Amino acid sequence: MTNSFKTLAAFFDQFNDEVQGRDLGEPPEEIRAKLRLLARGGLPATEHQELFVQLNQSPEWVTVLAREMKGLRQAPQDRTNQLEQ
Amino acid sequence: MIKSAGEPADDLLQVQQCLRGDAAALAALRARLDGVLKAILRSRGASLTEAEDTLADLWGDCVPKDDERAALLEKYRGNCPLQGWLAMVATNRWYDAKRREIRGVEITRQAAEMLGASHAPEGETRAEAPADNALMELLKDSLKAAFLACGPREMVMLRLVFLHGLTQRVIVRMLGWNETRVSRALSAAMQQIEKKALQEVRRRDPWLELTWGDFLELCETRQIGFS
Repeated sequence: MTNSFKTLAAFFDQFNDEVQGRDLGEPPEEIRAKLRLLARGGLPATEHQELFVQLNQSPEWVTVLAREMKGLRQAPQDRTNQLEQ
Repeated sequence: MIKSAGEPADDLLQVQQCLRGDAAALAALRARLDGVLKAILRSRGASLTEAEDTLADLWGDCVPKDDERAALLEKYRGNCPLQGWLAMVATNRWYDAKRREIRGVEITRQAAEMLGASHAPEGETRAEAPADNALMELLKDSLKAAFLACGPREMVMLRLVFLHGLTQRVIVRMLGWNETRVSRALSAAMQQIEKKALQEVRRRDPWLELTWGDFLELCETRQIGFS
């Protein structure tokens, strides 16, 4: 399943710059704040749908969300490392 | 001596031998792959005659001829197996020819209806100009329909897990679901994409018989072998 979606997305994305809206770049601060909340599980469920629609229109914002989520995952380890040092 | 292996590096070596004018190398390549390619075309909906005609043309175009056109094999870069690469080229060619044939028949019928049977055009009618890459357009449009049919939340989940490498546990925290629900949602989304994409292919071209494996292989070969 992993490779399948990656294959499909790579194939699709090469044709679809205009559909995917890549030129939008970084999200505005309002969206960025919502992404931070979403990553932490703190965005009200009633706001999920609208944000997911926006993320689909600008898939590069999913990268921002992924960064936020990875940051959360790394944070406890970073703290442990700092304590060990 | 041509090996029977299908590793891209070996394939590239064989292709270079063919392009240098080694007739035995080309004959060996044809002997190795013709039957496989014919079976692939047949499984994708081509008649025996269509498959044989497509492959006869394909092998003829593989190496330089007297005209100034580039040989087909010159475009092979060795970054994917030659069998898959040639299968894609052959499928593309057969698909284009079949579409032209069907469009030609449709245009004849429509013209006959418009003009009345007594004024129907004689013989073969004009066919649509060959599309640059009609098969890729079909795959892309079918995939677009499938992605649109998939929920926006599920598309984001798929991207996070399969493109950005996040674990399902992280998605659990984001959505407040349990892991089973996340896992089921991802599986269901992939199944829906598969079903919708193949449905769309069949809706547009009922004579084209692509399995999901074919669909993925064509997408992958286009991505790797022609980029």
